[in-house]
Parts: sequence; C-alpha cells; structure tokens
Amino acid sequence: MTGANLLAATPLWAAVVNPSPSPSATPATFGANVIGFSFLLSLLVWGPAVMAVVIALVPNPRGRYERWFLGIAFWTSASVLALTLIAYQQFQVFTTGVQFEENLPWLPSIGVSYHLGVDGIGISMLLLSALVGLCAVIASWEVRERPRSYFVLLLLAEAAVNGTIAARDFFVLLLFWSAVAVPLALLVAGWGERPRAAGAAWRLLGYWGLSSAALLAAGLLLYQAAGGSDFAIDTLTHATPTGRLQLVIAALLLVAGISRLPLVPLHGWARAVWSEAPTGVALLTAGVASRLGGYLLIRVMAAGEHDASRTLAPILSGLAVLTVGYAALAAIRSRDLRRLGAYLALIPGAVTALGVAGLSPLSLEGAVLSLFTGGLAAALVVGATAALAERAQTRSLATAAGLAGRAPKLAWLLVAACLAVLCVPFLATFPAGLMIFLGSFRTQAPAALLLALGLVADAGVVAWMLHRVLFGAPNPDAPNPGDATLPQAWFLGILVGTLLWVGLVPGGPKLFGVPLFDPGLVNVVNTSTPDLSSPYAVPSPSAPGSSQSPSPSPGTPTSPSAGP
Amino acid sequence: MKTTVLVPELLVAGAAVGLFVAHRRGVVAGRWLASGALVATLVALGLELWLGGQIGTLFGGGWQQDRFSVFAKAAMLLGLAALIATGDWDSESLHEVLPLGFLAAFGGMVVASATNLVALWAGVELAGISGVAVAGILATGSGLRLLRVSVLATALVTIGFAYLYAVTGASTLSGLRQTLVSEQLTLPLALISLLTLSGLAVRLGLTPFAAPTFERGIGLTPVGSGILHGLVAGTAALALAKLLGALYGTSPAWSLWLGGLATLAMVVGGLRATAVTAPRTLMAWLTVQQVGWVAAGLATHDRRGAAAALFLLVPLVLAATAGPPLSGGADSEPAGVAGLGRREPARAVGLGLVLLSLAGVPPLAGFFGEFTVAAELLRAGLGWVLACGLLGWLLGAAGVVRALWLMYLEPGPEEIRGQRGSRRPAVWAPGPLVPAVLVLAYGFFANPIHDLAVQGAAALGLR
Repeated sequence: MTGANLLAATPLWAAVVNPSPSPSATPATFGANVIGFSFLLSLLVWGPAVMAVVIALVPNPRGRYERWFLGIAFWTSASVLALTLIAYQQFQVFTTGVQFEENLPWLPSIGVSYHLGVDGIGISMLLLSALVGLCAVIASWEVRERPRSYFVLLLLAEAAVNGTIAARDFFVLLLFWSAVAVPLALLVAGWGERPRAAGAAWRLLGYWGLSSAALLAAGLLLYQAAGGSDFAIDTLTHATPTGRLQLVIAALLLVAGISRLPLVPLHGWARAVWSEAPTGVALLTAGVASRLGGYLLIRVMAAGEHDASRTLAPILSGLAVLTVGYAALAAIRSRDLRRLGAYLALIPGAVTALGVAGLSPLSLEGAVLSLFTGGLAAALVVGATAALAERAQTRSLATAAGLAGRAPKLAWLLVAACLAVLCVPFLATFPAGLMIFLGSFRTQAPAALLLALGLVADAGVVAWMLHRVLFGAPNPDAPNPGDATLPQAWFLGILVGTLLWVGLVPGGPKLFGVPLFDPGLVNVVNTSTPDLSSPYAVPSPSAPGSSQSPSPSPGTPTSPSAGP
Repeated sequence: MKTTVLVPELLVAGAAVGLFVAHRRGVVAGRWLASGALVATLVALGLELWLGGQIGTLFGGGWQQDRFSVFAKAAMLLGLAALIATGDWDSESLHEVLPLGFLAAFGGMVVASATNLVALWAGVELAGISGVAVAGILATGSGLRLLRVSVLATALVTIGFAYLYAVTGASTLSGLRQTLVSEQLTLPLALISLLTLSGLAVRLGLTPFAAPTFERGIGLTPVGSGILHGLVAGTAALALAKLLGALYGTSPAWSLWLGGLATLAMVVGGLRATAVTAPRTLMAWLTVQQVGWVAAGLATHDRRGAAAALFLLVPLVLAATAGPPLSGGADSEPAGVAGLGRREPARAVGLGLVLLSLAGVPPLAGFFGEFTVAAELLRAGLGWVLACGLLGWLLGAAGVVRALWLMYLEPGPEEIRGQRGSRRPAVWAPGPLVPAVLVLAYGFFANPIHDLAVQGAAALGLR
C-alpha cells in the first residue's frame, strides 16, 4: 500500500477530500429558513458600520457610559457571528455558484454595480471574519482609553473586511479593500504600544496603500481587457488579455496580494503591527485582514489569469519559502516575545501562498481551506503571545522564563497556537497543510520540499521558545506573572476550539453517516474549488475507449488521485 | 418655458446685491447674516433642482436651461453653500467677501446657461473679476499679482473668441460647432483654439498655469482662497466643457494638448502635495491634481469622458471651496493643525475628509469621480494619462496621510506646553461637518448623480 493510499484510508483524509455522501442526506438544519431576506450580506457588511455610527453618537456625560461602547461592539459582533453561522448552515453545499446574491446598479454607465455574493470560499472567509471579529472585541475588554473611538474604528474595520469578502464587483472590492487600512492604521497609532506604534501605523498605511494602488491598476487593466463592459469580478476573470498584458496584471495582483498576506519582501508592516498593536487589533489584522491577500490571489489571480499564474508560480512559491525561512531566522534572533509571535504568524500565509503557487486542484483547495485555518492560527499565536506578555508584565525573552507553572492556562494556549502554526495533526491547519503539500509536490517540488524543511526549522525555534518561556527555570527577578484573565481565556479558547473542531471533523460531524448541525468546512469550500481549479487540472489517464474529462465537473468532490 | 426657472439666479444675484447694500447702509455683519446667506443659497439650490428640470430657452435663445445647466448650477450652489457653512465669519470680512462669493457663483450659473460666446465670456469674467477683487480687498500684493494673471487670461480668451467669431461667422456655441465640424482644420484655427483654451486653463489653474493662479490664492484669507480655488476654477471648468463641446471639430488640435496639461497637473500636483507641509498649500496642490483629473476626462472629447469629468467636478468644487476655510489662516504652519483632532473634532473630521476626497481616496466623493474618469481614459485609449494620474494619486494620498497624522497623532501646541490638564473643551461647531457629510454621501447617490452628468454631457452635443 503506497503512502497516498494509506492516507486515503484514514477517516480524517476521507473527510477532507470527500464531501458529505449525497444531497439527500442533508437534513433540515438549525437555522433553516430563518434567513428569508435578500440583504443578508448587506446586513453583515453595513450592520457593524451602522453600529459604529451609533457608538459615535451615543451621549456619554462625564464618561458614565463608557462600558456601553464595549457592550454594543460585543453584541454587534456576536450578532454578526450568529447571522454568519446561520448563513453557513443554510449554504447549499451541493450547488455551485454565488449564493445570497445582491445586485443593484451603482454606476451603470461604466458597469459598476453594488454586487455582493458568496460562494464556498466567501462564506468560509465570512465565518473567519465573524469569529475573529468577536474574539477581537473580547480581546479589547480592558481598553479604557478613548473606548468610543476605539470601538467605532474596530467595527468599521470589521465592516470593511466583510465588504471585501462579499464583493462580487471589482469597484466594491477596491472600495472595501482600501477602506480596511484606514481604521486599522488609526487603531494601531492611537492605541498601540508607544513609541513604536506610530511607525507601525505608517508602515501599515504605506504597504497597504501600495497594495491598493496595485489592485486599482490591475482592475483597470482587466476592465480594458474585458472590453470595458462592466466591473463584475466574474467578467474580469473571464477576460482573456494578451500574454504580456496578462503577465502585468498578474504581477500587479501578486504585489497587491503578498503585501497583505504578507510575504517577504513586502512583509515590513507585519512585524511592527502585530507586535505593537493592541491585542484586539493585532488579532483582527493577523486573523482576517491579512488573509484578504491570499483571498485576492485565489479569487482573481488564480481564477482569471491562468497562463500568467503558471508563469509567476515559481516566484510565488519562492517567496513562500523565503518567508518561512525568514520567520525561523528572525524568530531565533528575536529577544521580544510579541515580535517572536509576529514572526511565527507569517508562516500560515506562506503555506497558503505555496498552495496558490501549486496550481493543482488539491493545492488550491488546500489554499482556500488554509485561508480559514491559517487565519485562526495566525490570530491565535499573535493573541497568545500578546496575552502572555501582558500577564508576565514583560515582553523580554530574557526576563520571561518558566511561566508554565504560574500561568498554566496561557502556557497551554500558547503551545496550541504554536502547534497550529506548524500544521500538526488534530488541528485545522493540518488538513489544509497536507492538501497543499501533496497538491504542490508535483508542480512546485523544490519549493514544497524547502518549505517543509523551513517548517521543521520553525518547529525547532518553537521548541526552543516554549522550553525557555514556559518550561525552563523560572526567573526570580522577573515580575510576578498572572494567568489568563477571563476575556483572554475566552478569546483564545474560541480560537483553539475552532481549530480543534475543524481539525477533528473537517467534513462536519455525522451520526450514522448523516451530517449533523455543521455541513463541514471542507464540503463548503469544495463547492467553489472545482470551478476555480478546473483550468489547472491535468487530464487523468483514462481507460481505452472512454472519453477524457479534462476537469472535474463543478460540485464533484476532488479526490487525491484527481491531482496532477 | 416659464421664467420662474430664473429664480435661483435672481436669488444669488439678489443676495450679492443685498449684502453690498447692507454694507453701504451700515448693517452690522453678524452670524445671522451668514445664516441668511446660507438659507438663500440652499433655497436657490432647492429651486434649481425643482424648477431646473425644464428644458428650453429664454431671451430669444440667449439663455438655455438643459441638463448640463442644472447639473452645473447645482454644483456651484453646493460649493457656495459649503463655503458659507464652513467659513469663520467672526474673523472674515463678511460684507466684502461674501457678496463676491455670490457673484463668482453667479458667473458660474451664467456660464452654465450660456448659448453664445458673449455670455460665456461674461460669466467667466464675472467669476474671474470676483476672484481678483477678493484678492485685492484682502491682500493688496496678491491681488495685484493675480490681476496681471487675470488680464492675461482675459486677453487670451477675448482674442480667441473674437477670432473664432471672425473665422466661422457664428457667435452661438451650436453655430460654432456646426461650422467647425464641417470645416477643415487649419493651422491658424488650431493655434487660436489652443490660445483660447490656454486662457481658460489659466483660470482653471491647470499646470503650468497653477503657480500664478493657485499660489496667489494661498495668500488670501480662507474664504477668499475658497472662492478662488473652488468657485472661479469651477466656473472655468464649466466654460471649458462648454467650449470643448463647441470646438469638437478641432479636437485633433487640442485633445493631446489638454491630455498633456492634465497629466502634468496630476503628477505635479501629487509631487508638490508630498513636498509641502502647510495645510493650505497642500490643499491648493491637491486641488491642482484633481483639476488635472477633470481636464483628463474632458480630453477624451466624447460624451462619456465629459460625463465623468462633470461627475468629478462636483466633489472638486465642494472640496476646493470648503477646504481652505477648514484648513485655517493663510499663515497657518503645519503645527497649526497638529492636535486639531482633539481641539476641534468637527473641524478635523471635515478637513480630513475634504483632503482625502481631494486626494481621491476611497470611499469618498473624489474617488468616485476619479475612478469614473480613469475608466473612461482607458476606454478612450489614454492609458498613458491614466498611468501618470495613478502615480500622482499615490503621491497625493501620501501627502494627505501626513496631514492626518499631524491632526490626530501629533500633540497640539497646548499639549506641548504641558497644558494637558487645563485643556480647553473641544469645539464642536456643526458647519465643518457639512462638507464632510456631502463627500461621504456622494458615493451612495452616485447612480442618479452620474446619470444626470451623462445627460449633461449629452446636452453639450458630445457623441
């Protein structure tokens, strides 16, 4: 029995690569028919923005109602999560195409419309956004300085992220893509750790401004290539620009994507922001705002610019390898706990990038899944290191030592975060990483091998860090550390719990083969990836006399053997 | 067509005359007078939108009401309203400045309804003279220098119009258009077209003419600068759009020239915006940059490009008139806006959003306009103009980020002096929020506004 066959025989693998057995097996689920209106996505996008305005306008005589702002932000994020969960429940996993669609003309003469909709990729990203958004609010429980402005900006950032994910029109995508940067930069600058917060905010604005400019240029070139009819993303990705123009467009999209994801060499903002921002903001940035870079690479570059994507794939995979290597080297040289967490948070983005560069059905499916799982892992490692630094009352690795005994909850949450980043089994990053590595080994073998070696190096760094910070001899001169506070335990617990849930039952829980309340993230993701990856599918060798099928039909589950 | 359609013009002209008369009779200027002027402007705007739907001519065809005129007049009145709402009328010379603002807006309204070269000339000159008069009243040196530039612009436009009339024998814009379309383009005709358009480019403040026009305006009081940068430049842009419609037949002569000037304005405006630190100067160069985008839209010499330019003209006029009053006095140093976000939150929000809109940052009005122009530039094959515009856009945005940084993240002078404890309570004046709301709301109503702009461009006779 070969390794692949051995893998295919395991229940975990079967759950990853095979969606639920048949459409008829889907029972009426929790939340069915609750959402019968057609503006669900607008509600998810504009709801937080409206509540931000409410917070901005609520009277607050002598600061009496400052905790109300936190309450409004919390219940808004919780409602967004509840709505997203119901939408996730109701998502039709056995059909392809866009669901929950809204389409209104906006600037009809140039083909701009207010077009929202989600497919399997979009709904999983929305779920990630809602989860991380709620965790970001919980992580901000102790914000006492200018709470009104803080929660207004946090909700605006959440709204912009949701808008970017739900956009099906390039103009709408660009609007929200650019809008994400402003509240996040102000949050970093206004509430980050001084004196470096200002520099971090500048870097964020600089790099993300560059990504917005690159995206704008790419979109306009695609518009021209598509005949200038409209800005619908589907139209733009179906345009067929000439070879050189396609390469330029893909290169611009690559710049836009990797400066958000981020990958070396456009990673300059990440270390600064993730280590200096307040915990809630770092969580939101690492967990979901930065994943939008990978989302763009998959949604527009890989889906539309097939030839150019193939040309640029070695560059992208090379950058992914460099990023993982850089993370290992920088982490081992780091003397700052939060910075170390920031370096480790670069790894999930690099794994996603390898999946995109792999350009095989399996690696692309893994890349989509890793947007969700990597976002959770990055948020978790950034959040756990920030919480530990706060409770240990020091960021210095020279001072913080042997904390496991006095902060056991935080210690085990940090261990889980590090394991998640390294794609170990039983955590959600494992199936995603496995699909990416298996899928990209044929197309990008050297990069996949080097990236795997880089992960081994990162594991060494993690082991050293965990031994020193958690399990080494306690430092008698260090300030007295405390364990996780209740909000910290909650937000880190939600992230770990989700990673475990998706890692253990990626295809959703089943009772006697019948799916229960969760349709399974892999099944949801699978509704979109065949469409996305069909241009990259290598025709499978067929039996004599039978007709060849160049690509899996939409909705058909992808098996390991369907890869290259 | 009923003459009631003239009521907005009468209101604006009447307000100008009324303010002059009030000054002569010794009526003490107070906030109530500014409030009255604002009400008159808003009533004129409402009436324009209500009555302006009619299409037809008056005075034997000498005055025209169409979709272009309703769009253009609404833009001018909106700019005027924003100027009055944001002006600090305690420190401004209301009796002297405000009537000139009304006259400049009236000049723009005359241009919007002009059907012949004489009315076009009169409207442009009325607005231009108002700008020079504002400069002369408030700063004699600047006024004199601006007067020289204005005389040059007037001479160019007057000679150009006279020559066009002599060559074609037509004084109406439609007659001019018909004649030039059927006539072969000659070198003298091309040169005179460029000469005439150069006169308007001086008024509009396109690079390289921005330096004499806009830099003079920086030295004025905030409201004076708003009149010059917003209302006078807006009138010139309207005149340019109307004239380009008439000069359609000579478009091979001027389209490249206008594209070049637009490119220069976009790049130089962006470059200068990154190099300057004083808020008023930054505002002026961002205005130059956005004027470049408007000119680029007009350089496509077709209906869709002109519609995009008109669509951008509204945010331009709005931000350029309201911006200088929000950014403070002419001698304001960069430190003047430091800590503004804490001292005067409403003014900081207004100034920040106006600057962002001028820089074309999403999701504000300026971005919607510039994006529309960008799409039309691509469609018209002017990719090189767009590439330069995007470069200027990036530079301009960087300049604005620095200003925002000062406003929100740097300590103000009081805070530096250690008076944090005894800080004055934040000032919450509602006026500065008016342009902020408008530049935010523009995108939400982009569909009907752009539709009206398309109809306006069609009324210019463009294909």
